[in-house]
Amino acid sequence: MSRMVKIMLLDDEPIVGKRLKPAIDKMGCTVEVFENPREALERLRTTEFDIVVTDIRMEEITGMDILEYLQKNKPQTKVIMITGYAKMDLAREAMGKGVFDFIAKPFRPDDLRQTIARAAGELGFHLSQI
Amino acid sequence: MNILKKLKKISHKNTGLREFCLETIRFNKFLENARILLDLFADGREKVLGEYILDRHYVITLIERVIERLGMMVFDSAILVPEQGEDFYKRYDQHINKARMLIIKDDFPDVSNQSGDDIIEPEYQLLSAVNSWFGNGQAPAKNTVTVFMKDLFFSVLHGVKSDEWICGQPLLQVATGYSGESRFFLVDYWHDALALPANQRVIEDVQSTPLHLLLHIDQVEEEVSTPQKRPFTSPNWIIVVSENRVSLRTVQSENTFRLDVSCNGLEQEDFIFIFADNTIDLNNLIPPEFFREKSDQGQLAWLLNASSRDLEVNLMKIGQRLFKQHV
Repeated sequence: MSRMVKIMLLDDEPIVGKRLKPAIDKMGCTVEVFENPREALERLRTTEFDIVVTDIRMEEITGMDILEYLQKNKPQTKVIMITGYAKMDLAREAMGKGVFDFIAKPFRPDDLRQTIARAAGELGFHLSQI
Repeated sequence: MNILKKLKKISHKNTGLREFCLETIRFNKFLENARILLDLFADGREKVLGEYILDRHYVITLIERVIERLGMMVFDSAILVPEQGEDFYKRYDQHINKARMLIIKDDFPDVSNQSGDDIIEPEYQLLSAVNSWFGNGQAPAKNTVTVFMKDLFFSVLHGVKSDEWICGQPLLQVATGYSGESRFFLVDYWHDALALPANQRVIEDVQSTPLHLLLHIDQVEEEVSTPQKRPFTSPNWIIVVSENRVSLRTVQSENTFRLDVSCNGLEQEDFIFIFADNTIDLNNLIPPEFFREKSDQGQLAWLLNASSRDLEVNLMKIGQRLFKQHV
């Protein structure tokens, strides 16, 4: 495919988006960062994303809500969940609902880049992990 | 019912032996908790370097886990040295308050609208403050968790009595091949707490991997053999064993020395721990890869995260230097 991979990055902790965006940009992807899950959900209603990377634990709307919305309305979108290490029970539940993969905090940007590259590969893209 | 409760329920003529076994099990727990705390400190040190994506939740969880595990260590200490329990808990409460202050403190500068490589996010500032409280900083500091842990160690190691009565139990004496100079008294803490052995044992009959590594020095491979002057001698030794554990200590001796080993074959759980008084030259006993701490109360040394092979080799070297006369 010739177009760029479009990625949504959703985490209510600002540090996550701030640190991850440059790392994912380097892969040659288009990245939109959200801290407010409500705003992210609105954006998902109007825009197609290839991959959504979302924290599992957020106020009001959780990563599970985002996953359920995408499974119902945009099943082609790959969802990668970021979990705290105390939330593996939720992670298991998400696995049953079709999440592409998990990544546990704290993690290195390279760990996420590898997961994104795999998800993009399944969609027919070839991404550089550098 | 866990094994501790079972042991407590068992009626044993020699209640001293039962108490001694319980004390040894409790000290093992104490070491396990200390080991987990050291791993948590190492995690905090690694994550603060900036390579990781972390959030406030990680730092808060780290604080909570340290407080929880420190509480377990304090509990163990208060059982082993009950007369100091009140003091231990007072100091523990101070650390709980410090942890609470770190969590509620929220005056790190907001950097969300700033850019540049020199900006340190609040999460990293918090983690850095937490590391200082742990004692992970470069400069030695007072009132850190590490300092408290060291104080607990020395209080427990000096407070736990050597149980000299064991030396009066002929059934506990074992032949080791080195008994010409020293007598060895062996307690199998899972079995002897229930009933003393019917006959005198020999080392070969005792099921304990670390014990055999430590004492079967005649079978030591050539590469391990490094003749050294024996650092000290003791007339009597108590050896407390289970299948994967050894606790070795001097008794009725001019020197105080204690060695505790966990040897499960699991790198994340195994360790060698040593306590020695300051008259003993540990340079003649332990390899340089051991971590060491020295104070006016004695010397601590430990080896963590070693491969099974490294642990075995180190045990054989220590056994050889402790018990084999070369010079």
